Amino acid sequence: MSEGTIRLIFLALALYVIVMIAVVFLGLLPMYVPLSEVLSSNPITVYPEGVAKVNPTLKVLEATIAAAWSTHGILGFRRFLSDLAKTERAMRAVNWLTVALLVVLVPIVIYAIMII
Amino acid sequence: MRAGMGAGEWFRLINYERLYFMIQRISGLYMFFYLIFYRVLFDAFVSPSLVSSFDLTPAGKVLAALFLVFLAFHGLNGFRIILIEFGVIRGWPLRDPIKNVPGLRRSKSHLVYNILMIIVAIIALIYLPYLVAFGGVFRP
Amino acid sequence: MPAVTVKVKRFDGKRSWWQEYKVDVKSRRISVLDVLLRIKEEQDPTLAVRYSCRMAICGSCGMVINGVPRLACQTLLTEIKGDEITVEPMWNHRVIKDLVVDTEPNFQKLREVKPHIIRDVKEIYESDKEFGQTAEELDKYYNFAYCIECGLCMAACPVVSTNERFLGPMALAAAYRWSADSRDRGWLERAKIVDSDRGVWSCHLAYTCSAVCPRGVDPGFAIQLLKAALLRRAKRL
Repeated sequence: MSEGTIRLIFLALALYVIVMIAVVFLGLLPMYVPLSEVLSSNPITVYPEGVAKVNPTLKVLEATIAAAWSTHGILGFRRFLSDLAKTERAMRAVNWLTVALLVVLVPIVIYAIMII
Repeated sequence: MRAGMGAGEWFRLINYERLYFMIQRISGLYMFFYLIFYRVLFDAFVSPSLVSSFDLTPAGKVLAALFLVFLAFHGLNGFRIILIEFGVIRGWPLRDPIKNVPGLRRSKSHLVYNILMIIVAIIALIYLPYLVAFGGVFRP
Repeated sequence: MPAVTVKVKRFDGKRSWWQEYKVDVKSRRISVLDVLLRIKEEQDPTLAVRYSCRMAICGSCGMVINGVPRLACQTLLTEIKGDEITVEPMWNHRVIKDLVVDTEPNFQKLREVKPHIIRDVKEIYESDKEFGQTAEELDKYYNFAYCIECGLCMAACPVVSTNERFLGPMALAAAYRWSADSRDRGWLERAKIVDSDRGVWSCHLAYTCSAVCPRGVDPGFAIQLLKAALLRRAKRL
């Protein structure tokens, strides 16, 4: 996969997270709870547990957002580590670490959201 | 001898975009570790009640407020980067014998976005920690 | 007569230290290079300084002056606040002696992006065809052709400081300059080189390269133009 494609996926995931967080807080939650209550509560208690309590089916949407930010975060961590990789061999190790993190952490994050 | 400082160069501030780069890096790393280890792994698999009670302590609130402020800045600067890399924010450099002006400094769209970004970041810097400190627990 | 204090980071191959010199100056409308050459002539001939044209066209005298990478010949004392000048060799480069650094890695990276017209020139040899260029086509890359390859952008870049494999703003701006040239047909070949973690994607938009460029080349912007072209899968620049 070319680096440009990885970058495109990285940016698309970031846009998805930005848009969907705004949609959840300003669009979906106000359908169930007054907007003033959403905007005056501690955001850590609103998302993700609060959203799941409001409507359990929104957990699926939350899981997609979780998959997106965790993948974005892992690819971002790869970008950070690639700045420190001095040789091609180190870069290959970084790539393998990224794959391992994606395979392990993303399903864990999705599972963690779904079991709320 | 090698001049320059390695990773320390990330913290040298010469122009304002360098400050954005430094905060983007620090915020990204902080959020990654906060979310993955504390919010997901600890909350889902170790002790959700411990996490909920720690969130209401001053230390928990500071970590949460820092996370939200970093999220706001990281998102705003990240969106700026997306607009620049896709060529949406345009400009062209000005060569001048006395004072050269790089393309992004001449771009009106970049200037407007910068101003909006700083305004929203200041609002987020005040509003989000306020919500964490004094906002109610969400009980739908 | 007013005096300036110049603190120079010296290196003799084994150890590095800061050395202070006091120089009397009649006027502040002289450059830092003039002050360094006065030090060489009158106080310490062992001070190693690389310079050539003295008019910001050769790019030899790049160094870090008061914490900012600059050309010594172009930096007048009027631009420096106070009477203390701190001079050290360019960051991110191996120091040979005092203020002289090894710039060969910069040129190796530059050569990797093929900084020349890539085109089948059979047409020129077999006919009277000329590769003309309109003013609009020239404007697309002309700014980036002003690069004097001084290496200040490479010194300023925070990514170059940790990632030695990164091609750097100097090479990437050259890659844009040659690919955007209407006479060139080598964009797809160069795209394979710059579309990598060694190429444009390691740039994090710190933009210090453009802030320190003495010729207004704006290499940071050239990198963003390359990124936009790669993301849009452009066939020509």
